[in-house]
Amino acid sequence: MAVKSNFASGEVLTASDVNTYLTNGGLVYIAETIIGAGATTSISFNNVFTSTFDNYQVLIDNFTPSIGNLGLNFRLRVGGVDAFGATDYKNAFLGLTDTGAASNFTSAGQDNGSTGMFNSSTTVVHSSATMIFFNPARTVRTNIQSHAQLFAGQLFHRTGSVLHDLTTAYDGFTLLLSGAGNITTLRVRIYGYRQA
Amino acid sequence: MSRTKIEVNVDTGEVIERPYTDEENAQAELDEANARDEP
Repeated sequence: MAVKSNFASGEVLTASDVNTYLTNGGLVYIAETIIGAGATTSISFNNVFTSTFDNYQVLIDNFTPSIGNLGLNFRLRVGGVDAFGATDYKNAFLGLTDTGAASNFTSAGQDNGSTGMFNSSTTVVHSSATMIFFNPARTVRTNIQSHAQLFAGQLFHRTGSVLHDLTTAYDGFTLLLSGAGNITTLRVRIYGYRQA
Repeated sequence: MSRTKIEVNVDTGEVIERPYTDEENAQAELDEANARDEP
């Protein structure tokens, strides 16, 4: 749908226009889950990737682990089962600290993808990410891009890509820690990109 | 360590918290053996 953005002062905005724009907005809210002062090892979202949308945006923030120095990773899943082939996720992230030091993260093949998030503290809430999942529900390689802020005694930023190198369709994903521990707090919001 | 998972079924709105299955525990032990503590 072409976006009509040139409404003029005094112009009549018809019910038809309003209905059209309300039903054809850009991002469509799908779900939100909040863990507040909890203790769960991982969180999985099922039946979130469907034929309704090709691409999805996932906003994650308010991340604290029960043990410091843990990152937040993800796995795609289908039918309630995570995909964890040993070398199926390829990670390439550029990183920078607030003092200008480079802090890249790369992995040519591992069994999960990085959100780019990390927290060295169990109390400082200082880690967030905007992730875009391209075509997870289609039988193609899923591309994921993430922009993340993280805390490791100072501010870090990471921006990068994850490739899930299998031509498989998925209906969900799991968020899990990079090591032993629990997720104490986390907020996840999921949106679909409307296509027309 | 007992591990738990929150599982959100987006289509129904159902949210359950359950213990890890034996298979999930086995995978988690592998994950933790490969833990990364650097950002």
